[in-house]
Amino acid sequence: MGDALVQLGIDWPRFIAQTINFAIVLWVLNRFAFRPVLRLLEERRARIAESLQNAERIQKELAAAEEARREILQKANAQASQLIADAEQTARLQGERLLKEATEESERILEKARARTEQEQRESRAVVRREVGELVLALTAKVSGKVLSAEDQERLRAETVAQLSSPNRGDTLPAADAQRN
Amino acid sequence: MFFLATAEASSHPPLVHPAAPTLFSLGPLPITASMVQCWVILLLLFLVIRLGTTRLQMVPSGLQNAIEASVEGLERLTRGLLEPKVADWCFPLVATYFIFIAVSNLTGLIPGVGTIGFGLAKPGSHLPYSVEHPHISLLRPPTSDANMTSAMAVIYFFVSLYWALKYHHGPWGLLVHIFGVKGGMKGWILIPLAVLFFAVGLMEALSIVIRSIALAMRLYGNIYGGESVLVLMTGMLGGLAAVPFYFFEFAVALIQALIFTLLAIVFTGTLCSHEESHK
Repeated sequence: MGDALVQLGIDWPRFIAQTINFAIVLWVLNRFAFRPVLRLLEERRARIAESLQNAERIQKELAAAEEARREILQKANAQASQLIADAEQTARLQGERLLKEATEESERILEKARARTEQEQRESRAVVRREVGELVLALTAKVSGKVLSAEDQERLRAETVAQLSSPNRGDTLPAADAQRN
Repeated sequence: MFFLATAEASSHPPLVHPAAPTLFSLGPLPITASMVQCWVILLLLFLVIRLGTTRLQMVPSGLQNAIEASVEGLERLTRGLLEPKVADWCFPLVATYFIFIAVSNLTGLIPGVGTIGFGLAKPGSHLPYSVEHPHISLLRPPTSDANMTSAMAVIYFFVSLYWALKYHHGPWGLLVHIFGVKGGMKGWILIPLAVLFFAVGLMEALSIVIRSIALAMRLYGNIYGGESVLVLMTGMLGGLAAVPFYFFEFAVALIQALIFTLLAIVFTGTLCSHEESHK
């Protein structure tokens, strides 16, 4: 055994020196390579995991935001439709009201005009009757050559007015004239 | 030791001496070519690591990529075979084994390593300072020095024993792990089983010791043998005969590093595991 170790060159000083050499290599690698690299790898793993979680969270938030946007849009659309419908309804009611008011106003104006016309007609007729009565009196006085008494004047005036007031006065006038003659 | 027997039986000295040549001495400490190369490797590793890890970036590039890939690969290898807490203890040592052995073996293939040194002058050579064979080479891979492989194995032996004691909460736990009756049997069957498992435990204890010796000698034998073959083949056909062996030794360099590392991990796994994990 001892010879074999000598043949292989194994002795305590060299063995211890090589042990120390290897220990130094181990220390250098562990201190400058393994520890910092493993720390970095761990940090990177943690960061990747965190990034993935963040990405997942962002994805969820995005989906939620999209959902909220859609809901808001739907609500806005519904509200807009409601507003438009309300506006249309209001406009229609307003239109109807205005139309009704305008119709009523026009009817009122027409009524007033009609009443005024009738009034004017009545006044004109009254004037015409009076003037025609006087004309008839004058004409009768001239034709008969006598002075009519107050009684005759009144009677003639009444007849003339009655003739003028009757609806078929055109036909009756000659008859009245014939009676007078 | 077969190769020692052949070396003694032959009248010719081996082309590459089994022991690393001594270059000079510092007092009682002989400085060998393998120690010098070990320092060169240490310096090389230190420079590469400092260059690659001085400014570690979250998005790696260049040398940092290569260092990260190596460390992460070795970490995955370790974590894939061991319990997490044992892998944490074990990783720095086994990763250093792989990196150091691989670099040491590969540097042994660089032309000039093992072939530049002192020897008998080559008669009739037109090149100055040419020698027949460098009996004292200036550089020699540390893994082809039995002192270094033994040092690595002895370190592994004691450190793995410490891990085992830590894992099993003291010497009693470790003894129960090695000699205890496994399988959850109860009753009278325990008596013959205890005898059987005691014998198995003795073999296991012996194997724990032998494992370390095997680790050291396997690596040393392979690399020393490879170096001898390369030196022998370099002298044939004007050096062309060595070309295929260089490719072969390139593979051997990495395979041996992997074997040493894997065995160290697996042996740790057998020491630092509970009965349940064997099922």
